[in-house]
Amino acid sequence: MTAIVAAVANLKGGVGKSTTTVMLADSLAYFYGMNVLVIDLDAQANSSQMLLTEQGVHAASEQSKGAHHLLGQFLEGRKAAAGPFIMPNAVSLEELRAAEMRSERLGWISALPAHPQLRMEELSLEEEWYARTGTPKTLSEALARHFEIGFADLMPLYDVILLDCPPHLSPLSRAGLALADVFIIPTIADAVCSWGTKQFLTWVGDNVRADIKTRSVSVITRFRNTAYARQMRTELQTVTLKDIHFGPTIPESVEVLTAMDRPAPDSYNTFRGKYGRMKGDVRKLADEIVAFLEARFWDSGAPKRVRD
Amino acid sequence: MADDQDALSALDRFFDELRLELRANPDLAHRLVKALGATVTFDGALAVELVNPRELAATQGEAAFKETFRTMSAADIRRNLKAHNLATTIDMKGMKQDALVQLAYERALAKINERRIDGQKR
Repeated sequence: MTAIVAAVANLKGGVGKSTTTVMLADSLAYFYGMNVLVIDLDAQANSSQMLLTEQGVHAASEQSKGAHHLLGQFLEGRKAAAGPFIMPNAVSLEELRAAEMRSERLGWISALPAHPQLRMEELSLEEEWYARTGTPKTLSEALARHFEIGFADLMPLYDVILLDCPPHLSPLSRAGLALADVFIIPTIADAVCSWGTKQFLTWVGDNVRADIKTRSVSVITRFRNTAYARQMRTELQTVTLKDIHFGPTIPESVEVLTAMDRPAPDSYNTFRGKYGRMKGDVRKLADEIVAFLEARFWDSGAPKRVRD
Repeated sequence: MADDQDALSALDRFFDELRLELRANPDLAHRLVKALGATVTFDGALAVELVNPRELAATQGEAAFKETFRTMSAADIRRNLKAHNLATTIDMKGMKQDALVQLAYERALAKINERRIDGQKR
């Protein structure tokens, strides 16, 4: 077994990349019993905070965990190894924890969290690299090789690795995109997000992965059921991104906002308690992503549902 | 003179209506008194609906926070903490009132410290 690497990415910020990452991690682990690793490459650390809380992110950093240490290895010319920097428990769902306590692990989430320090490490790296006449392209290629080596030992341990990419094409983001098997592209049904998503697909297609269109799933997030949003969604699906596979539409919901605000690092909730009336939408997200992956990667069939 | 008396009667009627409304709508009363800059304290059932634990922990300190929360029943504290997303049913399982008050203070303070932009902690 080797993990499928899915980059959750878009050029545009504020489209729900981190929220989609966390919903997917929760739902793949909960409904399909998958072992999921979330790698947060965004220095804003939103998905890390959603999984661990801000307190948890700082605690992780104090324990020498986090993606910025992987960059530190690169800066110091050391061999990449991501394993020591991973938080082994990023689970907030009571059902997963309870099964683990009974030594019957059925779905789990670990995280290589981001920390605001990641931005400083990336800036130092860029200054040093460009001073040696390197370019953004060569830096992102070198980083991609570093990551590939650093993640190699992890590939047999996980079913899916979710890369939460920053909303721009920094060397870090480009390195992440270069490693991805599939691209999950959250977008909002409005004109500005349509432009950003189109630019993202064009740029990545030209510079990173020529076949990105066949490897992409777009998820419309924060959907308000208005005439304008319905028109824009139809336009996205039938015109702007007509070659892209579409996953479910996630409605705008206070329950999603609440679900992403973990009360404390030691707080747990049931899946139903965490997502409330959004439970069905989050399950659908997992179902459609699993179906998409099954058609492309799992010759011997997709993992079966383990919970309803 | 007659006009003055009419004006006073009109004001009396106005304030009577306002008083009635404020009694029926404690949330509005709370906001109006806060707008005057006065310290507002609550007890019992009213506190469950109106107290924001994060705001209370940030502005009133531990003693006042706990005093307010001790006026609530354990069930009401649970309801308040769930409404403000500071604890889940799982987190509060089996806890008695004292433990819930302590949990409320710790979680509210931690969340406020997470969100402060000046990095100061109480």
